[in-house]
Amino acid sequence: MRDERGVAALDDLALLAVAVLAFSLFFASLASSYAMREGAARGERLQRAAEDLLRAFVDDPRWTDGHGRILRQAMETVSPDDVAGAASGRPFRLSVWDLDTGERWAFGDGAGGDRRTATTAANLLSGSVHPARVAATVWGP
Amino acid sequence: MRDHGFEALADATLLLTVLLVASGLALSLARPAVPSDLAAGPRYAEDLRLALFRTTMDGLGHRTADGFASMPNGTTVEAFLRAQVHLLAGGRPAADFRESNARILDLAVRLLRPGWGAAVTGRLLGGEDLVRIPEGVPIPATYDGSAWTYPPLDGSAADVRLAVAVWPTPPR
Repeated sequence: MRDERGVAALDDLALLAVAVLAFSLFFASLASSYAMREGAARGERLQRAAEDLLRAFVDDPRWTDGHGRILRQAMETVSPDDVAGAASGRPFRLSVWDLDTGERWAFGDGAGGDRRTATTAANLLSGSVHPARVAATVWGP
Repeated sequence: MRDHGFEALADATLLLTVLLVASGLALSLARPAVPSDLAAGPRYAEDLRLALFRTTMDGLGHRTADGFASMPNGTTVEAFLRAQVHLLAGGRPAADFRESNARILDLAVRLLRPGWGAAVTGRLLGGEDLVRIPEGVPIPATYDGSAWTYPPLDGSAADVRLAVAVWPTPPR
């Protein structure tokens, strides 16, 4: 003998289980989607900040003679505070690498956590014109 | 199971299907957006071209049957490449620039960001490439470039165009 109410309850239970599963998957994917988009946007913001810092450095007339023409002599006197303004308050590290002599100059201490780096090619001017790589890294939430 | 139960289960399956499709859509929308800074590639190519061409080198030159004809120390890469195009266009195909071009390639590789490739080309305006560094390496169909046109060195031939192409490796 079958209990009609029992059978109906089992039917409803199956329906409920499928509905719960479907909605769980949907809301989980919505949450993942949101988290992924936020992560990508954060990375994009950080990358832009690194690019901005890099552009500001290679264009700054205090230590360059035009775009990408860095005065070697000025590298000895530049302080992290001089560079910090373009980092918009984020922890940063900016390095200049003379590819001929191997000399490097670095400004800023950086920090832990998420970071992005922007790199470009430039020159160091003294008596001759040396090739140089300039890299700017910023950290941020 | 009652008829009503089957009906409910069919509805639930339909709901599951719809929500699975919706989940897929939500996840596909989470893909990172297309890089918004479309000028970044050409800007990098420009930076690389300027840095490479402005660099001064000692001992650049070309080999001939008579020996090595060197340019003055401190010659810029740009001046050397202009002279190279001029000589090759002017009927000096026997001149061998490979040693100096290899040094320029080495310099370009050191200047490049990791994960990027580059090529330098030189030609008379409207003509075929006379200089290609590195030799024999094809430039991908999609690349970012920067070029400059110079007047001829002796005023007789066409203008000289030097260009730098950069691309991420593997190419997009």
